[in-house]
Amino acid sequence: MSGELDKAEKDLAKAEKDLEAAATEVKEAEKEVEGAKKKEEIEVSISTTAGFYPAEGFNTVPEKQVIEHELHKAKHALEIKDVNGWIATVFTGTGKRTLDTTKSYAENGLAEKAEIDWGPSEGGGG
Amino acid sequence: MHPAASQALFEDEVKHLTPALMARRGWILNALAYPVINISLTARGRTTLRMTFQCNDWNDLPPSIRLENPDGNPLQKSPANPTSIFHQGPHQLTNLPFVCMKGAREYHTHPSHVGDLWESVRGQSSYTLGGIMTQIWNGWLKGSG
Repeated sequence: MSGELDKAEKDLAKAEKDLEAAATEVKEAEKEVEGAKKKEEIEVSISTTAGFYPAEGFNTVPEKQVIEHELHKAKHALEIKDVNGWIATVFTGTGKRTLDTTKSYAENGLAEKAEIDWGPSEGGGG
Repeated sequence: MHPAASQALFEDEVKHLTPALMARRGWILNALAYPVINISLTARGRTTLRMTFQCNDWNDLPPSIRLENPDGNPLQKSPANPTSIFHQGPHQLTNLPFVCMKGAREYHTHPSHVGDLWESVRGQSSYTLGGIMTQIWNGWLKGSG
């Protein structure tokens, strides 16, 4: 009888350890999923002479989303009437780079955080 | 336009020339009091371009824009630029180089462009005070020196 009790206690201890290990694995898996999700997102701030969108900080959006989606939201929020001839740019170490707003952040080589400037390109002179 | 209405419109637009925007764009706001904006455009490896916008009668009239050196003295030579937005002139009214682009008073009053009316663009988002500044900035960034 005492032998059976010992065995049961050992089995219980083992089961508790297995449960603990499983819980740790679940936590790690959740972290990995979170990390993967984060990798697919980008923080975006858009500056214009009608204000910033969002007004402060950054919006988190999918990296695979086309840039013009967020620009459209900015146009609406900042009450910009028309954006014909406007360009979206980012600063790089060597200057300003114009983005293709019909493509995604990822396709434009942007990751993690993007400070996008948006406004009219220069008009023709003469 | 009534001066009070002009000032109200001016102030409604320039309120967005915030320190955050200045920092992001490399602009320096040297002076801002109706009807004058004095602003410097800076960029790595470039000579600062300073400008005075005279916005009297905004927006019945486009701003008169004076190109200046970093000290605030008028430029005698237009900035080197592959675009055609800076014109050596001299402009017949100012006797100085000028911004030769829709939205600059000197453009619309130049004999070559008097038929190109300010009214045709007035009120468009690209021709707010900030929009005009942005256009000049985007053009200036394409230059060197």
